[in-house]
Amino acid sequence: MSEALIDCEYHVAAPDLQLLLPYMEKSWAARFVRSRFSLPLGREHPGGGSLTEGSSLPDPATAGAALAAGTRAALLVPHQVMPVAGWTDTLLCSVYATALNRYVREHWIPADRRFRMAIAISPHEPELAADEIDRYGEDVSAAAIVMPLLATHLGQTHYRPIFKAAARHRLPVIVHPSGREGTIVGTPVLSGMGPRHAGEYHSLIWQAAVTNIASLVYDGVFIDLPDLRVVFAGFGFEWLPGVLWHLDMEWRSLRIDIPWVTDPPSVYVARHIRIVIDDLGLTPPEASRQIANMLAEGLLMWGSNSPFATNSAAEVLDAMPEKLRAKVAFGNAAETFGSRLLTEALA
Amino acid sequence: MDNDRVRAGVVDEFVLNRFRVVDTPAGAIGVVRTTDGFYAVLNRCPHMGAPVCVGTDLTTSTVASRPFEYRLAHEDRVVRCPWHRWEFRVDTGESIGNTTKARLLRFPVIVEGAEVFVQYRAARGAAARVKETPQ
Ligand code: FES
Repeated sequence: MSEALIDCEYHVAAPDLQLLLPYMEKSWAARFVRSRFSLPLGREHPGGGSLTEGSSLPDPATAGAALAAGTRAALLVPHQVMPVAGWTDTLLCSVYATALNRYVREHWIPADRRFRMAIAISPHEPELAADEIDRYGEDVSAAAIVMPLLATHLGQTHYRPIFKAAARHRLPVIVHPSGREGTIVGTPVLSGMGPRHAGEYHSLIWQAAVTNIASLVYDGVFIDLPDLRVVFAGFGFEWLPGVLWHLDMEWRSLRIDIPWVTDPPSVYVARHIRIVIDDLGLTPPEASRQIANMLAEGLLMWGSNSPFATNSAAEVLDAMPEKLRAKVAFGNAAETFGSRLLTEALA
Repeated sequence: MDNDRVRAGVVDEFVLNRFRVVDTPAGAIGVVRTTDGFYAVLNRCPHMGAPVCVGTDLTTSTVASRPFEYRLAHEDRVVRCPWHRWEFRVDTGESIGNTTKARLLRFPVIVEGAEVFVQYRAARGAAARVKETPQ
């Protein structure tokens, strides 16, 4: 029998705008059509640079069979919501996210009993995003929330309605690169100027995760919302130990300015933050093992990044320390996303 | 000079909350007068050995609160290291906010009439250099 897996990052997309229009009010649908709204490409990973010719658009009818052997549950991440980070019509972003969710709920969830939704939200209008979360609050097919990052750090009050709704329903919030970071005003800044090349973007994107992890801890979000979990998917993981040492060191020096942070930042990260490893990048397996060994045991979770995967589940898990393998493959995600992920009874 | 104590000065020479550092066979010791009496600590930070008594006067810190509600506490009892700004209570030697298990090494102070002495052989607490690692 294959080892048990929970896939924390399985990308799904709507191949055509026509599929989303029925999930909007007529007036909004007319507006999308009138403005020749161009649907972000499903077969492109956000920030993916050139199109990957090999990656075909996933289809609900065949996707279940394409899950990695041993997969017990897969979190569906509608990555077409990510580009909203760079859009300016913020109400349209929310209508669009709502339509994506309804499309996933009706077309994908019934296709395989292992599928679970990550509720796509636009972070521009946090109150509307909270309403969208509330809509799925009692739906066992929804096991997480997913959104891109804005330039505003996650610790700032802008995001509080989203985080409060997430904590209310015990739904972890997954953040994922939008492909717009460092390139459009209003998205997270990457070091120096905007990266000119996709390669620079990929090498710098971890900075957005660091900024936001620091902000979540230092601004006390987890003190206000002790049930909240925030998951970083698509940012890598190899940078984390150094960041945690530094955050802890700064806390020892400057606790006076953040007295609500009563434990070292690495303790809050271990409790409230999770990292999805979807590929190893260029980190050699031996180095990955050493890095994973320096991190809290509950922190890392596997995600396939399908259909954009560059490493198989086995390649990623082989690069984990033996004592962590089952946790990264299954246990940590089961603990993080809770009972909704593995419940059998789905409508 | 007694063989276990060193004179630190005359009471009136002490500015409230400001250390006077005296050399003793146990090393340099900072002696300070506060509103509830004299304290003395080794002038050596348990972190990396900075002269912990010469950064600032005894100062005040904050205690745990809701985010962004600052509450001042430990008024004029805080030794703040000039190097990495770790903070310790002058009376207990303990870290403020429990950021480290390391403590300041403390010594008894004896006031006889107008004269102030520090007992350098009677150290209390541990001054071992510490290494802190993430959990
Ligand atoms: S030497 Fe005192 S805080 Fe580092």
